Amino acid sequence: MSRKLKMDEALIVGAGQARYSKVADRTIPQLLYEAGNAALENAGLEWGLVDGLALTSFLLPPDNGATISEQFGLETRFLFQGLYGGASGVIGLNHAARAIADGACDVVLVIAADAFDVASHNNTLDHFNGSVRDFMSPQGFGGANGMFALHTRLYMERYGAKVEDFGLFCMSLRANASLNPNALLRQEMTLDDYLHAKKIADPLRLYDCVMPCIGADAVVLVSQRVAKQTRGAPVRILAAQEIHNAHKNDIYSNPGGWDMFRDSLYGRAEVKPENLDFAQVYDDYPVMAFHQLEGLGISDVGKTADFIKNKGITTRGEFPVNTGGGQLSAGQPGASGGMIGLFEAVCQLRGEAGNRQIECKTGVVAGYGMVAYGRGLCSSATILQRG
Amino acid sequence: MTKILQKPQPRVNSLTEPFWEAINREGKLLIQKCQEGVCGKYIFYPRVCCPFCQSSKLQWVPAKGTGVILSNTTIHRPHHEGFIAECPYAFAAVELTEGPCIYTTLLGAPLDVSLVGRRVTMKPEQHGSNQKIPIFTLV
Repeated sequence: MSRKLKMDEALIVGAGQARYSKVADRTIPQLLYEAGNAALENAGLEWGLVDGLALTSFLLPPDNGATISEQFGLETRFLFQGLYGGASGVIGLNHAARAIADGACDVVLVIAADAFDVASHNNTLDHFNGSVRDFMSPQGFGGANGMFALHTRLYMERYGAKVEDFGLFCMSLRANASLNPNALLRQEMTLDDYLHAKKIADPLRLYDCVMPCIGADAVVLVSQRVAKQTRGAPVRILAAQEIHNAHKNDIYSNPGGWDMFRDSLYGRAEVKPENLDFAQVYDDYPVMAFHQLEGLGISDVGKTADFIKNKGITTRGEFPVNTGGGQLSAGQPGASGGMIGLFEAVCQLRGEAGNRQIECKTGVVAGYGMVAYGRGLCSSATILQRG
Repeated sequence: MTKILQKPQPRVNSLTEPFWEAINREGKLLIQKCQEGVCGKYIFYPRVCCPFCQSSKLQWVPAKGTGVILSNTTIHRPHHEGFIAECPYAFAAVELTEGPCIYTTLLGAPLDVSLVGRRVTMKPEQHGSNQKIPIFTLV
């Protein structure tokens, strides 16, 4: 229980986003600054107080946390650089909370930013790691689309899911995005639109695949002492966990690891899945959102399609999922795709989500990333509650 | 003149050299086998140690070149311009008879249908001027 008390030392007091765009109109440092600035303004804090950075960006090198500290004129006592793709946002938050609990720092900006289009995204993925570069790319794997088409096919074979089931998920997220001014895809999508979209990697069609884009997301995490100076409702981190290379040496039984830490995550948070008011999951592909909802014990294994049909996952549904439209409708700004859920959860819990506001007190955010030989290696999740 | 688009090439290093040498020179598919008696697992992609028992005693051994499709897709939009001319084409994860998973373009396979569980066999295919790669076809 001491670990839980320590997590309580750090509070999320603000969230911000850079403007999402389809064209690479800003550099990574510009995007980091824009999102960080928005999060600090939301919290009512000054840049001068920032003494920690948790940054995630595929395109940040050769810059890094130290050079960004220099560029922004910050003296930082805690730096984290996320190398775990879409799992990094939650992981950075987790590590920053521990650093604050240890007294290492008081104000950490957790920011992710990237600037991708389809070609540059494929180019990055082609060289993502040695096994992909040498034993998947020359074989014509089709990038992340091909890799997750294989998982989608298997999910359909195992559980009898239909493409229409993934379609309903995508349509629900699009309905949520229609209420999010920063989402890039906001026009209504019908099942017909979904089914007749061009094939990408069978059984995946266009709207199953995230659109790479330009953007950044940030949250600001502070000590109890600093939290007193901020505005708006603070958000508590009840628990956060990560696992890498879960289900080792087994690519296809379960492509994520949330099931492996679910019991300890809920145990430490002292909440149950039925106490959650929403989930923000990493939706690079619908099938991965299904695996997260199942891994986190929200829906039964193989039954997520029924869960979506019966409960409804739009902001008007019984259990809203990806209330800002997720990456599938907002866009995927590279590694910042892993921060969309965190941004959205904090907005919702602070009651600042505008037209898409839902009634909520407690929610879960999950991350997933670092695609390697056949699957993503990194899974993370955190349970957040309005303070 | 049409530009000939090069497909992405594997990088050969000290660890993977035996694999590429065998496929290039003899058309053989080599995988690793853990030499620890209690383990003895077969391994692919190439590793520095056994991912089951962490032993460094690994040996290259010829694989049968047969397996079963774990899952498959049809690539309509390739990740690399070198594959544009072949689109759409079938791609699969194959469980080798020895156990490990290997990825392959499926030559001559039907498109946009599930091939899960179908048996496949390997043959080396030219992949650029100085390189071969193992490619599988349906039995």
